[in-house]
Amino acid sequence: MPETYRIRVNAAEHAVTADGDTPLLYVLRNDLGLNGPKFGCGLAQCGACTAIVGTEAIRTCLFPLSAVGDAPVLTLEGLGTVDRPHPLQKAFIAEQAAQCGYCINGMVMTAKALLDRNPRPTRAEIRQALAGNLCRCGTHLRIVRAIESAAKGAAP
Amino acid sequence: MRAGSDARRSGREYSRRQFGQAAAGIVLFFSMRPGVILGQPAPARLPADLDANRRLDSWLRINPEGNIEVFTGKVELGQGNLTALAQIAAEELDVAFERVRMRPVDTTHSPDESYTAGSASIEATGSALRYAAANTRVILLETAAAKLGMAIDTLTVDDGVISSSGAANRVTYWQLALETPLARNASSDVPLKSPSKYRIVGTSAPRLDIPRSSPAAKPTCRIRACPGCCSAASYGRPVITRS
Repeated sequence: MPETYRIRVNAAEHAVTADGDTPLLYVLRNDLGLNGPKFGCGLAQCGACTAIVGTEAIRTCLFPLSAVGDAPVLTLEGLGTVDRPHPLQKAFIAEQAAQCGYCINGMVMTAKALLDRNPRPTRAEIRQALAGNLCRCGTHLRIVRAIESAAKGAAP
Repeated sequence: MRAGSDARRSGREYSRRQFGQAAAGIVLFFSMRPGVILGQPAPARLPADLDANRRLDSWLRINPEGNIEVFTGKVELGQGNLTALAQIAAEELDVAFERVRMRPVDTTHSPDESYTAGSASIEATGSALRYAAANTRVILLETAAAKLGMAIDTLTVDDGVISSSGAANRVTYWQLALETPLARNASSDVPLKSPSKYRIVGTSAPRLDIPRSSPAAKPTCRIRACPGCCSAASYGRPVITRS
C-alpha cells in the first residue's frame, strides 16, 4: 500500500508517496529527478547506485524507502555543482578519473563516506573501501589517486 | 598476457597508457605491410564519411565571436572521442584547442556517420574532419589573400590570425567568418598539415565531457522499450558534478 514518507535529501524535505519497499534509488531518480545515482546491477553488487544515508554509503537499488526514516540522504547532487565542486569532485576531474563515468557516482560517494570517517586513509584502506565498487573501463588507478589527493587537500 | 602476469608477480601497476604502448608495439608488428613502410600516396578520394557528407558546413562553422563549431555524427559515450576530434580540428585549422565547440549529435544538423562503434571515431570522423578543416583553412586563406592583396603562399595562421611575415596587415578567421561561405563541397586535393608540425594532436587534453553536464541536463530518451518508459543514456549526463 502506498504511504507518504517524509525524507530529507540533500538538505531539502520531500514528501514521497510510494510503497515502503520501493527502492530508494527509484525514489531519488524518478520522483526527485536526482540522476547522479545510477541503476547498475540492481542487486547491490556494483555500487553505481550509491548514496549516503546517515553516515553510511548505501546501495540504494535495494534499500527500501521505509528504511530511510529520519536519516539524511546525500546524493552526488548534494555534494557540489559544476561551478562549486566538492574537493573530491575537483580531484576526480583533475585526475581525469572517468572513462564512461557510469560507476563514478558510486566511487565518489563511497570515497566521501570513507573520508568522513577516516580523513587520512592509506592507499590500502582506499582500495579496501572501494573493493565493492565495480568499474569495467579501467580508471581504477586514477580513482585511487584522486581520493588520495582529495584526502591530502591537494586538489587544485 | 606476459606484461599482466609480470605485473602481478612484481606488484607493479601498469597504467592503461603503458599497457596500450606495449600492446601497440605488438599490433604494429603484425600490421606492417610494404605499403606502410614505403609511405602512402595521398588518397585520390575523400575519407568515406566526408565523401558521404561533402558539404563543409555540415562539419564546421566559423563564428565571428571567435570560436569554431564542429559537428560530428559520432556520439560521446565516455571514450573521449569529442575531445580528440576537437584536437584534430584545432590542429588542422591552426587555432587554440579552447576555440573549438563540439556539438553533440542531433539528427537535424549532424553529418550522417552511421554507427558510433568499432573504435572508428578517430579513424572515420578524424580523417573526415581533418580534410574538412584543411579545406576550410584554404578557403579562409584565399579570402584573406584577396583582402590583403598578398599571395596565398606567403600567409601563415596563428590561432586564427592570418598574417604575412614582414607585413603589418592581418585579418582573422573571425573577421572573415561571415564572408566565407562554407556551403561548398570538400576536395581531396588540399594540403594537409604535416604531423611533424603538430602541437595539439598527440598531446593529452583534458576531457571536455568529464566535468560538465549541460545546463539543461534533462535526460534524453534514446531508446523506448514501451510507451512512456525510458531506458536510456542522456546527453550531458552528470558524471562527477551536476549543475
